[in-house]
Amino acid sequence: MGLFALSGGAASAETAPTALDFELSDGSSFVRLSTLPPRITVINFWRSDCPPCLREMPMLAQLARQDKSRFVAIALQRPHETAAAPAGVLDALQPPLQALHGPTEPRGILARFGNPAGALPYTVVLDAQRRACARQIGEVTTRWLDAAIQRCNRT
Amino acid sequence: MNQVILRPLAAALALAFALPAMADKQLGDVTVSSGKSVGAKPVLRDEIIATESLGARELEKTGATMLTEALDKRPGISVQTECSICNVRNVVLNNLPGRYTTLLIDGIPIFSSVSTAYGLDSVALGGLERIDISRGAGTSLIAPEALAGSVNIVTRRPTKDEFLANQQLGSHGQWNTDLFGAKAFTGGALTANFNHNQHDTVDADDNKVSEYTGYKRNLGGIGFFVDDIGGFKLRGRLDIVDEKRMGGAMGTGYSGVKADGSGNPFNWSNGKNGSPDPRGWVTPDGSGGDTLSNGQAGTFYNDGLAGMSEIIFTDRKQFVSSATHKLGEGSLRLAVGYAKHKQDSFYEKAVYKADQTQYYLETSTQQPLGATLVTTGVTYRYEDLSSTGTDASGAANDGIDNYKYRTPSAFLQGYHAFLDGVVEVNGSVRYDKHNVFGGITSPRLNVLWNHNHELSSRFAAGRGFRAPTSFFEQDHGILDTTRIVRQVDKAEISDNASYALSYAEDRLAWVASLNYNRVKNMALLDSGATDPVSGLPITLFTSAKKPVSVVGGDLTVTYKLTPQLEATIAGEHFKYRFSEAGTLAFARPETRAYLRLDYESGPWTGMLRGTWTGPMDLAKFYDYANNPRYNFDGTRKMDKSPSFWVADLRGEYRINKQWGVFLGVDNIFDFKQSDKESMLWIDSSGSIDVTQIWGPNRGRFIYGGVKFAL
Repeated sequence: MGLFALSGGAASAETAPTALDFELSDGSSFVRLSTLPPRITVINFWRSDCPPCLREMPMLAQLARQDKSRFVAIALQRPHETAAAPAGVLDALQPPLQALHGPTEPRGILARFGNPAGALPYTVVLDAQRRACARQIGEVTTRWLDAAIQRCNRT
Repeated sequence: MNQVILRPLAAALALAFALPAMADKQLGDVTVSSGKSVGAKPVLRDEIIATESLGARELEKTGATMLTEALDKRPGISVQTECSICNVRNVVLNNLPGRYTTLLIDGIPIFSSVSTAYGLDSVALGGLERIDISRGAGTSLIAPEALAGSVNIVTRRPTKDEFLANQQLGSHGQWNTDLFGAKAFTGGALTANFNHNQHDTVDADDNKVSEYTGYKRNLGGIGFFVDDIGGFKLRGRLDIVDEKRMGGAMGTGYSGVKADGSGNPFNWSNGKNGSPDPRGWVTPDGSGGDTLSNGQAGTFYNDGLAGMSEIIFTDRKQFVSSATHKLGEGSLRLAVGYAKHKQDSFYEKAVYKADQTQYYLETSTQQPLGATLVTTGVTYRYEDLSSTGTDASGAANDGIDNYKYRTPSAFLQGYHAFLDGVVEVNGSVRYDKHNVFGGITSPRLNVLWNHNHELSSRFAAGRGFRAPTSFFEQDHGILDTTRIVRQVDKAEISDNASYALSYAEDRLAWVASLNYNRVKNMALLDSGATDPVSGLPITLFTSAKKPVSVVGGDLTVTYKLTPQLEATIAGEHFKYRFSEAGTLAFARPETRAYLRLDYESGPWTGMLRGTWTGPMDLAKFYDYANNPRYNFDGTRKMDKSPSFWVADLRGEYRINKQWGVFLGVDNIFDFKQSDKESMLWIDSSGSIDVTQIWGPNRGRFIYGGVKFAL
């Protein structure tokens, strides 16, 4: 399943302990991660035609509402295409979860955030300094996310 | 430790990208995402082989109703019309002849030179996930005849019940209906689709001879997807095509046109450089037996509607299916394809009826061997053609282009990642044992070098081969001849090398590529030969003595200007080196440029694109030195075509989740070749032909419609 997590000291070539950043559209303006207030951030990459992506989205929204960290969902699709997602997913893509749209060519951002193979769903957790401290290819669970957020709090 | 676990997964995904036949995006509980276009632009899929992918949304945004419209007007990719009467169209990759582009359906090669002649227009776009385009010989492990590259149509596997309807009406009597339905069930899905598309003949210069062929087309198909049947993951589709097209004479009175074999129903004075006399045209060498109204020697036309008309009925049935099964640490794949293609055609009084059968069988497996992923397999391809017909005089010429090709083959491919995935190498070789052209080995090598997360280089070198067929290799060479003398004993061989440098960050993406193609033994069909004994017209089928080279490069830059607006600018430049007439038989431009804006905000979507085509060296491509071409008034045809822009605009408004409306205009400024030069031409003795083609054959086209999704 390609499930793995990185502790702060076990950085890979894909996730060097450097601050990560993006500049993506929320539909009305560009959002740059580095300009947001520093805090732990869960970033989830998804598509509306990826069944496990759809399955986990309501759970991500629920955790976002608990305000343990910032949650960002990056759709690797056009807004027009993600609009075709089931109503439950569209409901989930509401604040406090921040819904963004990925670049036309997603290879760069996926590789930068530690997923050069480009498999979805993909979730990466950043610490307050925007360094990757946990990541997973495939569907995540509440337990995994809680553990990852705790781990990132310690870094 | 985790890294050790990750590598085989990453490698497996990368190789799945590289094999079109296995490019199924659902891999267990993960979905391969990065290779897919997420926007309007064709982007390089994250593969070791540079592949441009057009997603379903992009196809929709361009307003395309068929494959040929979807692929046109893209850097390194275009669609070439090769006959102003029948509008035979080919997909041209890297500006090489269209017959070197191989069409695959879900990774299965089941189209031939016969079926692509008119068949590419009959590939509907309903129910597709994407179209993958790979340029260069050897890009497809299973289709070595793709000397210019391959176009793979990937069917979408529905995950929920769906009903989609699209009704479009356009100028020139265009009517397009698309219906798609899907029923998803636990462990599988069934789909059905139907398309009706029709368009009137168009005669812009009012000489009563059309430049745009009219057609009526009905396509139907069903698809099936089963996730687990005896451990196999199975998918397949059955497609049926029924098309009628006619050009030359206007309208759809097929029988009446065929029966109208004398007199002059046309006006040869109309149009650019029209004749001084509507009854016929000037004979430039003065040999004409008739005297035109201005006193010049000329030729009066007296062959009725039939003498300038081409009527083609196509009946095609095609089935493709593949099954994959876990085998050890890897996978086993079985694939089968079958096509029955019938063409009942009438070409300016000549009758040609072709009946073709194709089979494709494949067994392959992909296994990790240490850190190397190995794919090996065998394929068997069968293709025959059986024709009957008469020449324009009514003399039978049954079977003049019959052939039967059987090609068993084996292939081996190895993939390995070096330097912790920074460099990926894919090498392969296949051996084909052709029943006519013998054993042929086709190697290829692909290297992907990830300079960093955003920048990567792809190098590819490969060889492909193609067994020539006499059907439509060039021009309508088979039409009016008593027999074909085959002097071809070598397959066409292409060597290709390419380099692509791509960069992708959050708002900016660009791709630059260089392509070198060299084709040996290019097939030539000379329909102007004469039997030295009988004196009857014959066609010589030979091979070019000198290789043909097409070398070029292209650059595409995309930048997201605002969250709603994305701009693309692109250009391509190609050089053509050939010395034998008929090798590159249709004019191509050296330079083309592309501009495009894509807008998306809330329920609104818009697309504006402009395509600039540079001059074409008509004198060279059309061999004026040995066969000068003239207009009906006796003046010489242009040596170089003018450059021109074509602009297209389309907008869409989504009323709600179910309903949407759209409106579009193709060729906004109404540029068409017939305003500058007729597509018809005569030689010095006044013989007429229909292949002086360099520009759009249809002017402004306005369309609109409604979409419904359930």
